[in-house]
Amino acid sequence: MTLSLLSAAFTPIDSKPYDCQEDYLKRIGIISSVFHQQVDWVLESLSDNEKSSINRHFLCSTMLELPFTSGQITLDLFNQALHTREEKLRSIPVTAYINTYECASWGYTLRHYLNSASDQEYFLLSIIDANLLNLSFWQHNENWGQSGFGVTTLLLKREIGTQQENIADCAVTWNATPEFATVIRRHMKENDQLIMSLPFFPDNIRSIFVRMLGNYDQLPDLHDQWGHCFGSDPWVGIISAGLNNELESHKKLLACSVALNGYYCMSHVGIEPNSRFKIGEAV
Amino acid sequence: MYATHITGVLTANPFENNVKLSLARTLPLMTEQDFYSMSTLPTSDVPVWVTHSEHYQLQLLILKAIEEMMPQDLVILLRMQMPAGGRMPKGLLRDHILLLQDVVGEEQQLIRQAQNFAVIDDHIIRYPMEAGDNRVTIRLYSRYQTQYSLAPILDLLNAFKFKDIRFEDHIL
Repeated sequence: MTLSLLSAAFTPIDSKPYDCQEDYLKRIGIISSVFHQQVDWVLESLSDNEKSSINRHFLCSTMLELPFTSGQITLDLFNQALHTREEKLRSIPVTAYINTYECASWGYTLRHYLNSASDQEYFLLSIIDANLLNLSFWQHNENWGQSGFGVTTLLLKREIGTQQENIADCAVTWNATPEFATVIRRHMKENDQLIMSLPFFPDNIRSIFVRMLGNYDQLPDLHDQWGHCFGSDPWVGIISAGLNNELESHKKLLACSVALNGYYCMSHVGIEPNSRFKIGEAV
Repeated sequence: MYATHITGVLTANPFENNVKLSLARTLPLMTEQDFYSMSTLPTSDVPVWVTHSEHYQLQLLILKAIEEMMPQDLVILLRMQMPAGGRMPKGLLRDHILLLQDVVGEEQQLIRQAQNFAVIDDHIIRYPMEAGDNRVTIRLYSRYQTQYSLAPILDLLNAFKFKDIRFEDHIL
């Protein structure tokens, strides 16, 4: 059985440099506020009863690490936008932060959820990447070209008691991208009806996927438009295709992510006829 | 729910006679802004006793000790700070383990589900910019009262120069 993507939204985060010492907390406040508005929008797909059954909200990231690791910020800052009782009741605060598996963090988190929350029907996950420290490595580098920052929220539904196709693993070589392309190719041989949603890369890296997976259906690489959006890439690809009415509900997708250190994940995802997609205004 | 807490503080390098390779990579700093931003981050005066690879080696040994005491496929939450300095060993990436920045929120959810599970709340630092106090607390949760032999974990903590080792039982 595949997981169904009920709603998904992406809001780009402007990467314009700012005075990180003066405006740092203000910037997190603005992002946090937009983030929870996004979560509220995504949750509108559910009734109040269905919403109240969700007790976890996982937040994943690739590059937002040093502010946490150094103790400069805590997860509470990302829930700070929920000031009033009404806001707290309407939204679902973040309960866990996972950045260990870099761009593949969403797949490892999904694996944990499928293993450990067997009675939970809905899976709420957000992915945030924002260059809060204005570090040049995270802005652009040879591993993925221009970065694209943003926050994505996904609401997935699973059929309780059935096995979901979700793979979270790690490359054995240091050429993780071609190795991952080979892993996907093996998977697609048995699942050639799937449409792949792959990470966004510039031409020189994208050619690995084009050459090795050219025989299979894939959504467009949107690196030219958004840059490399880390773990959000496959979801931004799906959201864009959904907004362009390019997804058919009987077709299943394969969302794929690979991390710089070789962690990778892929998951079968279905779309419902009433699945909702949104790209918000840049913050 | 029944819980057993075991805690200790690392006070020396646990692999002191081994040759150490400086393999961990840190973020390249290139511009004025990079150096400025890094200089705004807090640092602590907590001693660094282990390299990244030694830390992973220690975590694998703690996992092995827990797995000797409890079922092999038990869900385990392990606190892990990033960046990782490189690729983490496969043993930490297994199906039943979730590595996360702060274990507390997910720990509460699993307690609510009355599930048997274990937590390794690891605050060992590997780099002067990491926040932490070198304390590791292992919390074992069980739906039914179980008499564990804590020997595998206590022996390990003692052998690897942990101090202030304590253990206690709780009923939740």
